[in-house]
Amino acid sequence: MSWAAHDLEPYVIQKHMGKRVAFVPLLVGSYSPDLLSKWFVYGVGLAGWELKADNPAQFHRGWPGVGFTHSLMFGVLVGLLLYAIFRNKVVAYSFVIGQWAHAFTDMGDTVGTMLFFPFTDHLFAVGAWAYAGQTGRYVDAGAYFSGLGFVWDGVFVVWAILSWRVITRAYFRETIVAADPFWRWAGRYVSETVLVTLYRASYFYGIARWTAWLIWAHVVRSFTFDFRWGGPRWVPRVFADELNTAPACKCPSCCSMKPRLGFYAAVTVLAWLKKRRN
Amino acid sequence: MEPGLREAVVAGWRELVLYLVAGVAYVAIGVTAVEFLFSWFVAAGYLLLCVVVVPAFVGRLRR
Repeated sequence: MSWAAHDLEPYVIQKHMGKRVAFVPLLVGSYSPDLLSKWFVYGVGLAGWELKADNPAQFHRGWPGVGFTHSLMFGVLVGLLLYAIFRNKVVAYSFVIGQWAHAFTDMGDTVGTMLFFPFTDHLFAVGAWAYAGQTGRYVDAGAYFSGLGFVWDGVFVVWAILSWRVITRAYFRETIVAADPFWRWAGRYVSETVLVTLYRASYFYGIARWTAWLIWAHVVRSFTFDFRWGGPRWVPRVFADELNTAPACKCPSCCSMKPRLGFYAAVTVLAWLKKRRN
Repeated sequence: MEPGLREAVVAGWRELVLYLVAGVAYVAIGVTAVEFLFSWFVAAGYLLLCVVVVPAFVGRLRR
């Protein structure tokens, strides 16, 4: 998982693609895989009860679980849904680009992502930094900001700063508003200053919280830096191999779900392609 | 021709200072109370408060 890259990737992509992408679906796509699941990975207390996944890594990235949100097919299906609703190609593929960026970035940790789900539930991992979501959000933050994960985020911090032009007001007027219908709609209700501030919010959030977590982990707390591949090794890590070799759930629902989802996805893509040809 | 970094900074220096001050304060609050760092909505609300609401309020008081 990444702590700032998902905030900043959309601005870097925006810099390179200009009017060919719509920013809001790009950003929503970038956030979408973790949008509804992260709280259950870390766990929350509710009226004396702790709600948390039994196996957070399996739940977050695997199957059975919500790991399908990190697959390429999830982006395509939601993109097709957006196209069916808005009839806007740019909106649809902007979401796909954002979601794919998230899926590829999360391949960097030791658990990785089920990129080709539903055709296979194999987790593809580069394994550069430790996956430690099961330890809770504070230890996970400390571990992430002590290994290569924060370096990877740092690359995006620098890249986003070098892409400074995309956060100027002139760029917002000439490129962002022109390419994304959301801002024209929202502009009827709120001032341009509010819109520009909201447009810059993830940029601000990504850079500021990357800085804050880094200071917290090494000045307020004393987590040890460990830049070895797959580190830091002082934290309990989960590896893709453990989940890939784990016995699959034999319940009828899980046994039939994978081929069924694969079939539905293939039919959807073929129907869409056929419609496009006609 | 697109403006360079220097021209952009000169043109929007007041806005830039607001964002930098908001950023430094956000980091300071976040380091002391890390719960503050978890929510995008909190960050967006905070940013709106710092760079839109407060300057507008101060501007109105000055008039």
